[in-house]
Amino acid sequence: MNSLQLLLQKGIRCLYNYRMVVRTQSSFKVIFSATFLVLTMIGLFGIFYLGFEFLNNVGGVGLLIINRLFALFFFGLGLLLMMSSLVTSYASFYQSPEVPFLLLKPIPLKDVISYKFIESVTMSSWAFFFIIIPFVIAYSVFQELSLLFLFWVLLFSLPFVLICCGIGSLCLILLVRFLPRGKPLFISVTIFLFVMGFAVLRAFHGVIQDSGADQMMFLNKLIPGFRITSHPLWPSYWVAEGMMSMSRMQWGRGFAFLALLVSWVGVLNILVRQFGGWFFYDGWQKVLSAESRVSRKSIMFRRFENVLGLFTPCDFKALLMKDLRVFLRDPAQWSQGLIFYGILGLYFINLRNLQYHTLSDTWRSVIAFLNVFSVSAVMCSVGARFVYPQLSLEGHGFWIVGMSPVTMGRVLFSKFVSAWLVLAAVSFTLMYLSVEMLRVDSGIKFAALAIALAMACSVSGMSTGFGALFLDLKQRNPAAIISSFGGTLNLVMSLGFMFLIIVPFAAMYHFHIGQHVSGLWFRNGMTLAYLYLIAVTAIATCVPMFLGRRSLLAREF
Amino acid sequence: MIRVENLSKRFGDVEAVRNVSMDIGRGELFCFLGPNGAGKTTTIKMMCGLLRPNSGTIQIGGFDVMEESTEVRKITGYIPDTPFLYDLLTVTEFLRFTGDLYGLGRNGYARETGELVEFFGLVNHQGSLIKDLSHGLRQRLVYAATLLQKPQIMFVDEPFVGLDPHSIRAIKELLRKKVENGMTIFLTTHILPLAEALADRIGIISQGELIAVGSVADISAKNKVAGDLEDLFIHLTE
Repeated sequence: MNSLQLLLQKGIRCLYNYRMVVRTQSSFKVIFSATFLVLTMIGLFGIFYLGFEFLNNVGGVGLLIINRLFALFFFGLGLLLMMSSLVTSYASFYQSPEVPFLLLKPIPLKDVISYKFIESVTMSSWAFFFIIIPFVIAYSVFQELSLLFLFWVLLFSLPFVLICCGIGSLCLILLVRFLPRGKPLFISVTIFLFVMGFAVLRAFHGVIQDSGADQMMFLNKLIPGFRITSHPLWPSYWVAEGMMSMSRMQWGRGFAFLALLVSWVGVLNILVRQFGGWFFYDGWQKVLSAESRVSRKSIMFRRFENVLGLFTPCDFKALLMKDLRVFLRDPAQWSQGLIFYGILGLYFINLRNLQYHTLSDTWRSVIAFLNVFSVSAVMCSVGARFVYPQLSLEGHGFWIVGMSPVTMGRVLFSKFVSAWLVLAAVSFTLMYLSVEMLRVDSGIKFAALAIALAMACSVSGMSTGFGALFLDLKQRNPAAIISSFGGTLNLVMSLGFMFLIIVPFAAMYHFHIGQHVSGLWFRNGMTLAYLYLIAVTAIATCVPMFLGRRSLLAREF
Repeated sequence: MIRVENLSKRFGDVEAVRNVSMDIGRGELFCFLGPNGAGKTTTIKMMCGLLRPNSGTIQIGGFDVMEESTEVRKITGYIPDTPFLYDLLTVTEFLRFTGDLYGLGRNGYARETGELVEFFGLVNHQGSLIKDLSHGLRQRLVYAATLLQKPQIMFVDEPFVGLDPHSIRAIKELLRKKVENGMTIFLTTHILPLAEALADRIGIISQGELIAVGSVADISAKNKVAGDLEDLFIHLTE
């Protein structure tokens, strides 16, 4: 057995042993998490199925979109996979404590590279399969295809995932080796966002030039913009064409695309191993030897700290600044947030390029509230990903705060405030961008901004409160904290709250624009909706915070 | 067995190790001492090939660390101050995995592990996941895994951290026994009485420079310091 096989066997063994960890959990927690997973898949299936029905009802252009949907879907997911692979490869290749351990063993470097690449593919692609499975099932049911279609999709997805992740990992190895010290991840993320922004602008350039007011004409103009996703040189095109050919029983054509994909997997495997062999070690040395240049930032921090000191008590300021410093000095943390919000920002900036502001009131209202949903959903995931594990990640250092004269309530409140400030600032800006670009009615503008602030408040409250309630100071791995029972519960509650507050506003405006509700009824309805928003936000924020505080006070450290 | 010449390492503007040279023979236990941040761990990491020096050469067992790293890794073992372990492997699985990496066959593995597992008191924990082990047990497992590979040269960074007095004594005796059998050990520690009791020779590094090498008696005589190693260390590194 060679070293790579040994390492993979070890990985599988670790995965298998995970059952022992699951056994130690309460069955309620396991069932709750499993139910949430299944319900989310069913929910995604429902959304995709309704989407297909909607496109089908639209008629001609809608059917054209359905035909191109797979190419578009894989194109988008492929870009996200590349980005995700760039970030996870950095953690896997350059930050993992396993790397020095492996480098000290008599294992060929290329095997270490291959093993770490496989690890990074696994980490960056699970969400891809989580999305693609309900999408394909919805498509199969809608088109009345056999379940064999799902098999073809999975068969074609596997090489596609490896190609996208291979490109991401390869780029990262080269970027780390050749970019200036200390900033490879920041520069990679920035370059990626710019490239994506440019690609989106380029793709819709034709639409900007001459779109008419007529909606059908607009959609017709939009199709050429999607042509980029069906370019014969994109792997997304090979996947889409290949599996459609298989489903039509055009075996020769289908297998030709599969062979093309597999051959590219082979090429990228050789490239990753070869370039990894040449450049990984030097890049890794560069990361290890990089001097932490914090002096200039420290001056900025100090100035900010001075300003903050004017408004806040000393201990509170110290806690806030500590969290801010720790967060900003960990690129693996903020880079993911940047991707989350960066992609949304790019989309909102391009809303006018897409000519959405010229659509009818009904459509603009629908898009505005869908944008509210997307910003809120990102807020929920940011809360679950970054805010929830904050207290647990204090870990063994918690005694510093625990032994200080600062009360636990104050510690918790400082976490809440720092989370709320960041979430509110980013979400408010994004929401403002969205409603301004869409040129929606001032009522919708105000509602969207109010929802953004309320969401920021409740997500911060829930994530902080549940983080304290399900505190795990022994766990050092953020992923394990996030995927624990408390983390899942927090995510479920945040998503539930999101629907709870957005739906009444969206429904009110939907009926109002459709002239089903107007005048006094509408005004009273909106007043009630705002009162409801305030009440529900207060409950969703205060109850978890209260429970978390009570749990912290009762805890023995 | 270990030959280091003019070794230097910079981290940005900070020169962590400056022109360090030393020669350590076969079957010698060499204690590398120094205040916090003096450059001990950086030196060890360069010797193991984990860090690339800015200048200088390192030869381990006659192999150049940078040019023949695979050969070096076959004959060396490294126990870092905060060792890495796979939390989701059991003790037995981890030892078997390490044995396989070093090409121990099934028979070789069975012969070697039985003794080590017993010596390090891991018999009752063989089926436990590593994540469930206490700090001390994890440290013992790291020793067992490192010795399983039968290294000719062992680098140990802070070997007694988190160990109880029984384990410390057992490890002291084990290290001495290994040295008598021809193993070369290069270790760093802050526990000076232990270093004094264990070491054949010591090296003292301060602010990246090797300021003294030799037996405690030789260094004391050369620097005209009376007293034990602690007095000598304080005198030299003040």
